[in-house]
Amino acid sequence: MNTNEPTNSQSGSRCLRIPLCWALLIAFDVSLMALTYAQEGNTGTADPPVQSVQTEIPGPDDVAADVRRFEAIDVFVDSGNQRLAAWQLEVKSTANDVQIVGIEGGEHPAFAEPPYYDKRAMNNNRVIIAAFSTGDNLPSGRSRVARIHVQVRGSGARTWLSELTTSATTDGSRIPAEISIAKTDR
Amino acid sequence: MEFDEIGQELPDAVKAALRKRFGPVPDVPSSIDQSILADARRHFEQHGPAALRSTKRRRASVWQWTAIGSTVAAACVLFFALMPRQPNQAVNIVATSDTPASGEELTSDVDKNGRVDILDAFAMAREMRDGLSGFRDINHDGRFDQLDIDMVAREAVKL
Repeated sequence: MNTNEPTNSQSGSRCLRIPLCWALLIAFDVSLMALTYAQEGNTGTADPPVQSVQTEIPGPDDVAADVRRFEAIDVFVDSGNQRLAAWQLEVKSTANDVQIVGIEGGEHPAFAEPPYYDKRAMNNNRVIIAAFSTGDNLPSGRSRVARIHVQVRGSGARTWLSELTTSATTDGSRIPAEISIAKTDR
Repeated sequence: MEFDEIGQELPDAVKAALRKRFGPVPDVPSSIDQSILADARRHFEQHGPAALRSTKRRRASVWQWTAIGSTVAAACVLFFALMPRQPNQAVNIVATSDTPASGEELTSDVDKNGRVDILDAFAMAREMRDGLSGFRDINHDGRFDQLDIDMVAREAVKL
């Protein structure tokens, strides 16, 4: 039996030796996949990350549960020292007893008209709004870009999620900006 | 084991001569015969030419399957990387009921970034303002005007 041991190890090492053609093929495949993945990664757009903000809008506590009240929420975009020419954002209430009933434009003349929105946002608790301006008079810094009128049933605060998905300057290039919402001071 | 068992066709004279030369053959139990036969079979199964051949084939197939598998994987990766983009909702949109050209497939992804957003409408508006050659008749009414821009913008905010 001892005489067999060297023979086994020799044949084992011989069998573990990879044939050159297979080794070349495997190496080629691996490099091909790595190259493809690398190219896929390079083609990705380098957009600024989407900014999502959670805001609690206070409401009266001394209201019955079935009473409906109307509120307005101001949506602000702060583009810093860059001029804001286009924006798109989403506003959503986490509560189902909130309904959007109207949308109006912002404070700056460039965005005074009501923004684009889907009609299905009415009587819904979620809306995507967007606007652009090709004029030269554009806001910079913090500016109210829209006002959303809502109907709320019952008392207490409601939580809103707002997400600025797109903000761009005059040439269409994306710029970083911050979104915030607040209850309208009447 | 008797000589008779080895070859009954041997002539009696030969058998007698063999008995005279080697004497009587002791009895060997059949269990020893079976044991020797089993050892021999085991040995040839482990070290025989057939065993060596099958082992070599099996180990060689591991590399073969590795190479074939990696080739197939590489081909799949390459295929999905290079295949033309399927028309999806972000790139090619279907006009809705509130758009003039209902049912027709439109291309609203002006900046070709894979999704329709307000920047596509903004790009169209700048083209129109600057009088550039981008004729984008999205609603197929034969004109490139504000209605086309509005259509793309509405698509961008669709819920």
